[in-house]
Amino acid sequence: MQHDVRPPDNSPVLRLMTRFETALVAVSAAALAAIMLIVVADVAGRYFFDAPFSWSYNVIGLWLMTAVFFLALPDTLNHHGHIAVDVFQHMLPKPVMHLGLALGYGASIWVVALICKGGWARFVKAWVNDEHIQALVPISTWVPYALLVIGTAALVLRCVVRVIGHLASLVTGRDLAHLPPPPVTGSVQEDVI
Amino acid sequence: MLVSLVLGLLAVLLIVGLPVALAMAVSGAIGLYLYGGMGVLMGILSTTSLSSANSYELITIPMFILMAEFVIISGIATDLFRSATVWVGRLRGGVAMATALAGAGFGAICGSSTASAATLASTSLPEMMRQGYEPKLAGGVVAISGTLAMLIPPSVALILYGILADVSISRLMIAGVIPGIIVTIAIILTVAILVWLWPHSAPLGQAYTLREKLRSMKRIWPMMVLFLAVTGTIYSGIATPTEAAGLAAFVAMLLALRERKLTWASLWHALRSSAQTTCMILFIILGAHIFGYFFTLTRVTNDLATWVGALPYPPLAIMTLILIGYIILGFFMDQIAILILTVPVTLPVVMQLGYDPIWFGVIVVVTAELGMVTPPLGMNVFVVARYTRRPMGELFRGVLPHVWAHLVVIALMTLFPQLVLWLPSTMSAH
Amino acid sequence: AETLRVGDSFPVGHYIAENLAKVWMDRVTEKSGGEVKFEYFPAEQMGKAKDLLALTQSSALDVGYVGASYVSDKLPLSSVGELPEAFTTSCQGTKAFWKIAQPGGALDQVEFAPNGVRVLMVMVLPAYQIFTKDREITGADSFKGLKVRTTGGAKEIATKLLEAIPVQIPAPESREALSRGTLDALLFPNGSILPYEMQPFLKYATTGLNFGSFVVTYTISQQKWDSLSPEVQKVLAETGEETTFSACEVADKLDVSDREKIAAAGVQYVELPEADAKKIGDLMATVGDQWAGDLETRGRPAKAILQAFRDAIE
Ligand code: NA
Ligand code: NA
Repeated sequence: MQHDVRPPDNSPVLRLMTRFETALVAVSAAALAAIMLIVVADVAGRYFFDAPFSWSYNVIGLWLMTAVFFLALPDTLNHHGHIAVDVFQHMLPKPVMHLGLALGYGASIWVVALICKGGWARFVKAWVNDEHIQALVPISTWVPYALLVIGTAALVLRCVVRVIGHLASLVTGRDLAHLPPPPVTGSVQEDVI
Repeated sequence: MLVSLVLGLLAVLLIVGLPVALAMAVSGAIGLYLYGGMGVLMGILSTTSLSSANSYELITIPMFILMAEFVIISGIATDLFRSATVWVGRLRGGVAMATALAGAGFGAICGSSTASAATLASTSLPEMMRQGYEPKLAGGVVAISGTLAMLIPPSVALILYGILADVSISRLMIAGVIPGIIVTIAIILTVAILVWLWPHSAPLGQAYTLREKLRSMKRIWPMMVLFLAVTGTIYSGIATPTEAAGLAAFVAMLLALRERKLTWASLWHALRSSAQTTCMILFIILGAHIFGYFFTLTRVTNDLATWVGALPYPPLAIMTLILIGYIILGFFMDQIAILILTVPVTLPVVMQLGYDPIWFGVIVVVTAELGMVTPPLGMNVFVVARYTRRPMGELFRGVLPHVWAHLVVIALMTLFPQLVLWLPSTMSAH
Repeated sequence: AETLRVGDSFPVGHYIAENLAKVWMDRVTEKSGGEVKFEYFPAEQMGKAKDLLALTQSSALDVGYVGASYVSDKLPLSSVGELPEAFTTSCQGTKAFWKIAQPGGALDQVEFAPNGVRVLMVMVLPAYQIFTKDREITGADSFKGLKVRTTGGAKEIATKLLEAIPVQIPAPESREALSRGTLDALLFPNGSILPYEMQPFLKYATTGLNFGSFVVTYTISQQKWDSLSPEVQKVLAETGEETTFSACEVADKLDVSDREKIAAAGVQYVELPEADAKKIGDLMATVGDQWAGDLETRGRPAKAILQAFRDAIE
């Protein structure tokens, strides 16, 4: 995914968005490292000292996994990390492809925004009612909803950029949208399955 | 009618190249809205989006991906391959056979088929090209050997199946061992037949003394350490299979550190790349859930399963039909998406036919391996193509003999389920 | 005619679904003369256990299974039935919980009604027992230092009070964890030992004690309820109560027969001396107080609910 051949972002707004997405994915990466370290410490604590963390199960499942997933969403889309079937795409006439992708990303805005809206409603409820998972160390449930809202909101913005790019390409006949490079030379997902 | 509309929409979105996750989420969401209105759609979107990610059991996926990243950084996979090359010596096609062995060895610590193919492509492929192997033969064996990682434990695909089918992950993992050995042997035999038929496609290798062979073993230990970190901690009861994934990533990081290959830059790269790959997988899971709930709600899955289950054919015939369906899906679809979309539908039918869910998991994964190397969407072939810079068509042809060999293996395991089930059956004998 | 969508997360053939949801659906269809029909989605087909409440609230489902401990953030007070209180059989726990959770009951007023759902059926499982791998159970202090698989807050408190170590391990991995010594003991109901094939790795078990339980409810969304005719409402409610009471009897019978099967597999059930049993009972009663205290600090009327539940236990 790191073999990125996109043209550089050419507007301050896009640069700011990319910076924000990089910051989000940095938190996601840190959460990934935290999962690894907590698991190691938890196993060592249980095996050597009979003292596992009682909170690790919920903290990893509820907070860290959601951070890894939602905060990496926009950065992964921006770098074409969400795999697509790109075999037929290159056989289509360019205008058809751009129109199809503009409509596809447009519909994606609708779905992702609904997910964000639903997450926001549940965040507000969890926050107002001070909801916790009942455990020795109670775990707040507003955290995952907040992560969901941030990650999906940023993903909506990235989808908007894609829609604009594909519409502009459609109108001008030039490639103004970021497209994944063709399979032979380009960005290969190194870790699928 | 609604179902065909949603399926058609999915096909169109996939063809224009929208990411698989978004294509499934969009078509599923539109279907849910048209079927049950906004309440139903919002209910499913606001629950399943979080549920697709917030599970402790899911950490095996990011942890094994992270481990593979650290292994690539550390360079210990290269050493494993060199040792295998030294041991096969002068044998014609020896390096190609060593690639299969190295694939099995790397598969024993890595759960990701494509990560394994990338590692093999960057280690064994240059060596084969240097020795004058035909690129078609060399590329084919690398692409297929990578798939062993999906079958030999640990395996992301088997873990995912275990979660979907609610069967013991450790039994599934053990069940993958013998099929993994069989597939390794099948690859080696296929290479042997190919170089016997076309001797020009592979040169004779170089001979090594016993001392050189033993000396090559010296650099195998980091892989052994990692192997022990995964299987040893599970077997000794120190950790569960889920936790072992986290330990494996940690040990791989320590090895990279010890090899002085781990820098801040490479650490950041490994973490970010793993986060992106995890995100991609979970996003497909999320999309597949939305899509799947539409199917469930419209009762299509039930009707389909009932229909297939009630076909007036013997179980073996129905099983063959199901496996052919998987092979066809594998042409076009990502293996993870296939598992998530189909297992909840096919598993009840398969069990109704009297087959074992553990056996079915292994068979489905072996079948999915084929999808990694068949056109048009053959992820492992894409990876190899990047390293060889050879035409895709040539590589797909190079892997074709292995596809036939794979089909023979699948037939064997279908006719003799004990090949899969014998080893896990010994687990409960305490 | 009315078609209701019913969803739960039990595997196909599980005794709770078979004796609660399915019996209820069959009886309702029969009593309503075919007026009410069902589309049944078992085995997480429509969502995970923790999502079924939200799916019921949003009308994706009409009737959904709600497991109290899966939604302890949304329905913390419903966990009252999972506390190690003074009952051991399913029917004792179920009848007491029904009194407070049925529409109009104390728990309904503070928790189910405000969440927009109405309880149709409940089941409190037979009391959980402790099963050990090697350690012989002789008294109240037999559990010291054991790594015990537990789920949920109240059972963690209970495990700690026994000076044991609560360990959280996913259910599908518990069997291997037990066999390899990652775990020393389980806090389990008899009914889950056989499905998970735990018995080969167990030697001793308690009986007649209560280390906690599990609360199953099936709820209907208030919105859907209000759209139904009074006759249909009556059939749903009456059948729900009837099925609640018939299902707990089945659960108790199964508990006895499961215990016999587990014992036949070589697990020794130990009845503790009276003094030790009382000591554990007193210790376990403090779990409820601690649970209620924690929730009161977050503004939930847990003390009143705990008292109502205790009063309801016969
Ligand atoms: Na593997
Ligand atoms: Na394919």
